[in-house]
Amino acid sequence: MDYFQIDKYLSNNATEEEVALLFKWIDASPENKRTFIQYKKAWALTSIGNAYSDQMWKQTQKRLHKNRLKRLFSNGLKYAAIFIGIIGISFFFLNKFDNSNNLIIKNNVITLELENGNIEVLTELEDKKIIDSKGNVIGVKSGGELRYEDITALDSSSKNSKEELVYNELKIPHGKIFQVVLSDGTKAFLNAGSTLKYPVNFVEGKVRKVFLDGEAFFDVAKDTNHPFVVNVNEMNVRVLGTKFNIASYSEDKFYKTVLLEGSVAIYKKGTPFNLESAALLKPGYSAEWDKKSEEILFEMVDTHLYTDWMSGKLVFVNATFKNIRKKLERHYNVTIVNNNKTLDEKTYSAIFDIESIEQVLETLNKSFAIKYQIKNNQIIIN
Amino acid sequence: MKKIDLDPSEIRFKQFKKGDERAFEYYFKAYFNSIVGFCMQFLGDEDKSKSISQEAFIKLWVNREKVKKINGIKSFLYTSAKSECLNLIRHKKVVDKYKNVQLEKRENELNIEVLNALEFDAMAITELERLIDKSIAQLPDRCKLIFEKRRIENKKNKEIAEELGITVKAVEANMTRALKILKAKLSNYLSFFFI
Repeated sequence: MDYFQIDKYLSNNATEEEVALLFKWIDASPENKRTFIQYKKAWALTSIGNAYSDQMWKQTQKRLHKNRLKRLFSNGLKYAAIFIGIIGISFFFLNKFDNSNNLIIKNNVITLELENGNIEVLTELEDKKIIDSKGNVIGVKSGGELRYEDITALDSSSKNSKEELVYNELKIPHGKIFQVVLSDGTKAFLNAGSTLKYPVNFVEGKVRKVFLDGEAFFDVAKDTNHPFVVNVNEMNVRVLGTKFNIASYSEDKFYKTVLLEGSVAIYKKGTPFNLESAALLKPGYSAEWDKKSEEILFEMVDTHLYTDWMSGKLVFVNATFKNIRKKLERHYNVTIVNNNKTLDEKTYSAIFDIESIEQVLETLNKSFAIKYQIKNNQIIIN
Repeated sequence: MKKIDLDPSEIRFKQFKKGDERAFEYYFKAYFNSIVGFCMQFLGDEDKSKSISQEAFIKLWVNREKVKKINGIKSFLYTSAKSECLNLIRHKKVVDKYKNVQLEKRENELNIEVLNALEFDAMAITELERLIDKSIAQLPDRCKLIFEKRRIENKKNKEIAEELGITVKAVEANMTRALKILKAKLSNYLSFFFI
């Protein structure tokens, strides 16, 4: 048999007589049949239809959503009944709750621990100069910002002290956010309940290293000779000059680094840094460092969701209620007691703009039927 | 610390598993025509081939968490298309091509036999990809260029013709030539492999 005949048949160009002849040949021996089958397989696996179009994709995409809804309904029907039940009960009890009891929020202060252990209190209204043990002005606090000066550049007498690192530690209480500008020009925006430890001045020829607990957004001043390293417990994040956010709160299972610009490398503390063993993060991606397994998971993200906190917003994406209440406590400097343990594991997504805690609680009540009351300056959820 | 593979295709695969539609769209674009082409070989009916392929992609999306490796995507799609094609042929839902009923019957039998002989585990797909790449690399330059514009960039014959400043006929001729060489080479290789 001429292979041309097989080709002709497989490309749909053979006449009925030719097909009859070909089939006869195929059935004449197992060897012939085997050859034909191999040919047909090769054709099937290399054929390319002309069917793809944007229209085709859009139509398929629509069906993905339909399928999801269908599955949601079939699984969710039994829960829907319970849910309606809960809403009913919550409306019934709503009037009985005494919500007139207002929350009194204590005004916690931002503290700065100097190298000699002295603690400076930074209040909103008062601007002040930060002076080291030698009497040098190392920085100025004004408004919501603390700015360090590169004193070694101005004062040659302190040149000697340039060789050793002197640390300050800034502690942000619940309910506040604050910005610090380090002596190299790097800006760090600190979220509520976070602590940043950093050298007053960086040492020539060494990496610029700071220690973070909590959440901060860094805008690192570019200095290719001096990489900038943020340490969070077992994790190091190393950059040259870039913008990124790190969240490392105790209620989260992982440390989350979200990169806006440039590139950062993530590696284990205590290991020498090299490009082979470090994980490189690209802009628009997040890296979740699992605290337990120390594995990293990368994900493309909408970076806004992770930086909106700087403008006072609160963003929750599929967060458990347990996680949400911890973040509310920190953001508003309140105490939330949850007596409803099953609620803790449920997940919610929500964005709160600049709202009071009372407004947030009202929204949670209206949207998710979460009941609350305020007693002894605590928020109690039942 | 675990070493992380930052290969973009790995990232895309992880995104897909997490439910990212953009990652899924990428696979849809890349494989839809191949799956349709596959079905066409057994059904000879474009509408049915399209709907089987679309169904295969929707099933893939629903079962994305079960797919373990990147190559698992192709094996899932081909396996799903294979069983649907078998179904249609067995239930005689394919359009008749010949006047002769015996011929029709024999063709269906052969198609069932070929389909049953196809295994789409991830290893087979990996091997197949390697063989196809190897075969493509051996194509004459012009054929290769045109073939890849069709296969990888999903371009239509007309678009390719405009881009290269040649006639649509010339594109078609090159495609036919490329496919002929490719299929001959591949069927040769396939006889040594398990696919």
